[in-house]
Amino acid sequence: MRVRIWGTRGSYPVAHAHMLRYGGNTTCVEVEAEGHCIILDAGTGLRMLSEALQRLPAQPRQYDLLITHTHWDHIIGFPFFAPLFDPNVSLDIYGLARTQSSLRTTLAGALSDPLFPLQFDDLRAQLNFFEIGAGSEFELGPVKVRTALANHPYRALAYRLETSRGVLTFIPDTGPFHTVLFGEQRIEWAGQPTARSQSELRELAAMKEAILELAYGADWLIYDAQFTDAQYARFPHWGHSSASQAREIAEAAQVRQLILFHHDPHRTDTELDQIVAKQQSLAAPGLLVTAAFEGMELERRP
Amino acid sequence: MKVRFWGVRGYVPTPDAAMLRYGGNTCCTAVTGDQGELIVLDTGTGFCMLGDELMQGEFGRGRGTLTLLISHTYCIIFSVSLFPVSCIFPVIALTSMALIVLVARYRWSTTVCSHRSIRRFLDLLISVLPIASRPFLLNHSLLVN
Repeated sequence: MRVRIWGTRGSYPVAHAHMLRYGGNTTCVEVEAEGHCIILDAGTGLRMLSEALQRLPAQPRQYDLLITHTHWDHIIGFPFFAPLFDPNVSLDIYGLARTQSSLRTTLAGALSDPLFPLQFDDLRAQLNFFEIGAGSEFELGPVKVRTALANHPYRALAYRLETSRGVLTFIPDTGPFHTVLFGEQRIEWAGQPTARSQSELRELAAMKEAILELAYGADWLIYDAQFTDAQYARFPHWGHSSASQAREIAEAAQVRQLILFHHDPHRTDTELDQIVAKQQSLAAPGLLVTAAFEGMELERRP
Repeated sequence: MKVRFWGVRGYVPTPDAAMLRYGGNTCCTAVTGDQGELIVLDTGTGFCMLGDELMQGEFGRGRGTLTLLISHTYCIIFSVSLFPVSCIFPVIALTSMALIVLVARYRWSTTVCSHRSIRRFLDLLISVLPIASRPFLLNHSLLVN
């Protein structure tokens, strides 16, 4: 199992000289296991993966795309994925089942007038959609996949990918578990990140428990660290975590390596260096703290 | 009249070291009139950079005003061997994303002058804002039918 990170940024892509080392493309991670290509999220990093695939002497015919949620920064690279235009390619797309609209309808809406000149039906690849929920378990070739729900507005999925050669947990967008962010129904924000009822407290505890289980003992935990602690205090209802909140989850789940992810579009390389150094100095023994950068590769040493 | 380019890239932002001099942000041009009035042409990701600068002044105190002229929300421009038809969707989405991020975050009072279809488009986008409150004002001024 080899993991490659193609996009690290949250919210929107940034092209800035002081942000190039960690990278300006939005979320996309590739997992390769025994020839299977699994892609986590389709931010603008997917365009970079697409270009890299074109340079291979032989491209895969089968891809699995696991989508955490369909906010723009996570699907904006989708139409730039060249294999979509190859009739010999088959793409299985997994995402959260929602009552408002199907996964296919959401993606097709993004590829239709007035947003896009191409119609969804113009794509040449064979597309198969799989709508899943929290607690789903399935196998993609040699990779066992499990899901849980993250605490993000309108809900997002988190994924655990496991083989005998490594475990990756991917939680790019989640707030901490102080209050339940709204799901399918919009909840007007009360102004304070505190639970409002006993049932909400129970829901939060269960959500956090499931997230910790999903991350437990992972070799690599890719986790939302968009905010500083000060930013979190200002925008607690946006569904993102700070680096220290990410570290606390990593410690509780006893992961080996924390990979801070979904960097704020204003965060410079120097600031990220400082954040990593600070969180490493605070980390429990045995926890390696890093921040995702474009081109980062992860592989368990034999 | 002063014209300043904040984003000049087409299709999709390109955070690439080899493209930084001309810049990797998508379309956004600011025109400042002799009386200080501010007109912004399109809201690609360059709009985010402009917004950061504007927040240093009147906008940061909640008193800024600008007029936004949107050229279009999609178009067909190019074709290469990889893509039978051009892919402009990211520009459109990023355009709108930048607008919404700024309006929502900074509580701007913003006037959008555009074609009716764009007004509907923006209404749709605002209705799906991924945050719980809508602490901003968006005035539509319909100029063209």
